[in-house]
Amino acid sequence: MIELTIDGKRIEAEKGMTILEVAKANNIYIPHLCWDRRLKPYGGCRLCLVEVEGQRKLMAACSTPADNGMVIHTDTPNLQKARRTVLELLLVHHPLDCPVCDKAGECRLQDLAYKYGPSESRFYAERKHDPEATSALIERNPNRCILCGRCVRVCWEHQGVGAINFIGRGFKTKISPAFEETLDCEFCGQCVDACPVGALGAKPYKYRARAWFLESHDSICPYCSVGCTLTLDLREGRILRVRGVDGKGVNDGDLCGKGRFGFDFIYGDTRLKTPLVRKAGELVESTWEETLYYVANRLRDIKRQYGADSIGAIGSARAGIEDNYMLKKFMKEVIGSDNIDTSARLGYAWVLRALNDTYGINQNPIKLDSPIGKEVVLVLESDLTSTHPIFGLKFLEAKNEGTYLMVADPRKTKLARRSSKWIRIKPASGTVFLLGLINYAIREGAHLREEKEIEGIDGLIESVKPYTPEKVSELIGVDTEQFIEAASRFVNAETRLIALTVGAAENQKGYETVLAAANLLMLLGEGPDSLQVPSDYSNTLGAWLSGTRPTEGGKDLYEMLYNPGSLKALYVMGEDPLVTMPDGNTVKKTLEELEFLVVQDIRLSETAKLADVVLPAAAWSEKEGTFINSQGIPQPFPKVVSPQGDSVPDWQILRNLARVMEHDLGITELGKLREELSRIQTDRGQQRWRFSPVEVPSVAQTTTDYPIIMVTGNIMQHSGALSVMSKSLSHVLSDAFVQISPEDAERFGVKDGEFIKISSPLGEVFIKARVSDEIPEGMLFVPVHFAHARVNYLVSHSRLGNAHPTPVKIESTSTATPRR
Amino acid sequence: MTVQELVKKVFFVEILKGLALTLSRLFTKPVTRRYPKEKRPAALGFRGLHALVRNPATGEAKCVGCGLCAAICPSRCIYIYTKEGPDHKKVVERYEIEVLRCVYCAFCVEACPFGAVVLTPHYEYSDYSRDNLYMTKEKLLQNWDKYMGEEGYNYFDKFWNPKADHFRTPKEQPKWRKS
Ligand code: SF4
Ligand code: SF4
Ligand code: SF4
Ligand code: SF4
Ligand code: SF4
Ligand code: FES
Repeated sequence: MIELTIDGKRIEAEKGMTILEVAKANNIYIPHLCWDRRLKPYGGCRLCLVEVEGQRKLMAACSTPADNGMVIHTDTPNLQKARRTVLELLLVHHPLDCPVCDKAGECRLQDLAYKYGPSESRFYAERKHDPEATSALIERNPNRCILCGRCVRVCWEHQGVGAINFIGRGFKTKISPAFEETLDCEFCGQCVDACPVGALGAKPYKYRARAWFLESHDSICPYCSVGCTLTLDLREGRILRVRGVDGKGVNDGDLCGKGRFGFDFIYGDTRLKTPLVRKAGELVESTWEETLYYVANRLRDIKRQYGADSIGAIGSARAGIEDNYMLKKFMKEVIGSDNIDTSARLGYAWVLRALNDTYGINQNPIKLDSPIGKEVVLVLESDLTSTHPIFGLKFLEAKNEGTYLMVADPRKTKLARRSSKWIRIKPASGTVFLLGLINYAIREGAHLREEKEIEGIDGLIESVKPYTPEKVSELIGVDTEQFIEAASRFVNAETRLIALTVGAAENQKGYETVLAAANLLMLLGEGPDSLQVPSDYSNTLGAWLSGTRPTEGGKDLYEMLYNPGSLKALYVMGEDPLVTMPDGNTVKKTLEELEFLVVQDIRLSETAKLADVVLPAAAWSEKEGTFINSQGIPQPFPKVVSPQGDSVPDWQILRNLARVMEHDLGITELGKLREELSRIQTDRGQQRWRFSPVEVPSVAQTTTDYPIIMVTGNIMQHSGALSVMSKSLSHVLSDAFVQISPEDAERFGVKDGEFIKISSPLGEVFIKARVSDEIPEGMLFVPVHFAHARVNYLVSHSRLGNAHPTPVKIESTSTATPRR
Repeated sequence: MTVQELVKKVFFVEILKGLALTLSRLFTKPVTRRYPKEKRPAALGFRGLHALVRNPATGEAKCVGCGLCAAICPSRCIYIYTKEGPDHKKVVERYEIEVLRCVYCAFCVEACPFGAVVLTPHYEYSDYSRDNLYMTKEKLLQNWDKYMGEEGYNYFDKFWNPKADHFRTPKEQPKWRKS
């Protein structure tokens, strides 16, 4: 603790804080342009000058540490004069663009010029850069730039990308990607938010409105399970842009590209506006009344004929807990069936199962800042900065603060690039890697360090016997020495963390991966907090917790979708199994064999195209709701725009349908629903440690016929099949592609950008190839988002929740066209 | 009642006095105007119907869509919609004034950095339909031609002294120094 005086006020502060930080903490205003909470002090703009008694020079508050006994003045005539001069110099070549500059009204430079600035300038100069207009989503107007460097630093220090930097000198200095090329980055837009002036702007917002025309509402991001708070700026009932606001939400102002630019999916062309009913083989528009009576009759008939057990429902990992709970209630009370599940079954359910089998708990919410302050963090075959971008950032932050970041991944992900140690393992060999670590830990005697004996230790020792460092390093394809070095670092660390994702879209990790990780951590005496596995989507966890799964022995997703004929009718709410779930052929067969398929969605999805009835649902922001993020925090989001066409919130559709079926669910309004929800008790389980030997380590086997491993997953700019509706995100990336290593490209004669045929025993698809050194030899990486690519048709699934990497064959087809 | 008062009452003295004044006015010149036959010209700076100033060089509206007029308008009756035009310039797609809600404060005229909006001397615009009094960009430009025209620039400079010239970027910047 130190004590200092600012403007006559005695203030206590922590040692190591800068003067600006102390002042901010005490609500004392010091102007600043280049300082950013998240970044190291830079001292570039000199606006934060303050007077320190006993110092001859004025000091920059943002980069001067506060010291005991300092006496500081923040607003004296002398300082005002200095600030005026600094501003005058900043404005020397600043264009008078305010009337057409989108920043006007919220521009820091404008505000400061208004407050301190001279209305006349003694100097005059001019910059003649052209605004850069060709890159997607982000526009740079170098003439307005004050070279504060915030964008450059946020991009490198905070985002870990480094796509832009200063180029040129003197008046010619500007912010640009290397060699003045078109910007080709993650398009997170963090630089846009960081820019204090109008030099960087979001293109979708360009010239759309002035800052003072907008009204703002806070909402929760509909994409991933981090659950960032988005500040929506609306004009006349239309969302025009999304900002992150410092200090708001779990993300504390940070946003990724999906959250920032992806909101426009609600304005997508494919939105459903009216109910559709299949008549004579065609889906035709219909009225709500007619449609609901039709659905009610069909469901009643099927129930009468085949019994309630022949009807199933699939909930949504993107709809609010209210909607999912209503579906469950509808199925239970109106239909009388427990056949209900969500896509969590394919991914997150296995995580929970593994945690239960080891730690004995039923829930393990992550903590966003868990990596910070750990000695060693291991990220296992997971591209966290793409799937859960803001969680991913915490790993970079931890690394910057001294954590040893170990990344075991075949792909050169952003975390791999910025890691302390990148172990390029073979695709889908993460589990074996973990087993090797367990074996190593046992050799080191780690299990003897703990006093209490954990149940099942002998079984574990036995099961990992074969995974000697030599064997493992051969299986995962790295040097034995390298493996031992990493293992020793991990095992001998004071504090450690393992982070990975297990999602429906990913086929290289599964139940046994989490199991192995949990075993390893227990062996080292670490509790479940050291195992961070976030749930997939905005409400994957919420759907699970609100009971959208079989709770009384009903059929689960595997039985409903991969067992043609087990159901006669299926009610799908906000999910597109045909695109997002593995083994598309079987799913399709199941769906086609149904007598009655109802799809309730915001757009005409691939699954909806097969449906007998399609019900238009209101999208996120068109209705109220609540998401539970992967930290287990329920976060309500408001309704801010009116629903498109005749669409209605999911829970209301179900309520209306129940009414038509002459059932009173007792839910008239959202409040009632929320009240019931709040009464749900979730069983977190008691910790009861027990080793659970991992049985099926799957190192993907290639054969001569299928010589290359295909791994599927999510990429940075997209999330499931929802984000492809967003025009902005599609600007960055709109077409399916497969990443292939340069070595394999040469081996199979594949050229960058051409269509290749990929076939597995389950089928074949045609996708554009992208040769990339992010991928090692012997591996393909395919994002799953694009319906027309039908990647999921090649991938099998495993009822044991194990990883199921897919060996495939590729052929160059320079002349072939993609088959739809 | 005194005798004096009684006499006044009986002989309508008060009333006759009044009538005498009336009689005398019969022989003077009337001061009222015979509106609508006879119209009164508006004084300089009269705040009548709005118009958007045409740029004499291009024939288009001078307005750049900065939205300052809409920001200052106390009755919030100006609506401006802009978009990105060809060659990435800002274009004003729609500029609308709900004239019936205007309070004729002329703040918009004062706020405009380009001298692009003005209140014309035209004041005769009652109508049977609200729609006709909802001014679109087209109508506002026509108002300029009809009620200001060539004269307008003169009038405008003299009375409103717009700051537009001070606002040109960036070549004109040195002119900021008043000579
Ligand atoms: S960056 Fe700020 S000061 Fe510069 S033109 Fe834009 S609004 Fe005006
Ligand atoms: S573009 Fe903006 S954030 Fe980047 S240096 Fe220029 S003014 Fe600063
Ligand atoms: S996608 Fe995830 S990380 Fe990105 S803004 Fe949304 S919640 Fe945050
Ligand atoms: S005169 Fe006043 S009330 Fe009328 S449009 Fe202009 S600013 Fe608004
Ligand atoms: S203030 Fe002037 S330039 Fe700006 S929008 Fe209004 S009329 Fe147009
Ligand atoms: S904020 Fe201190 S120099 Fe810019």
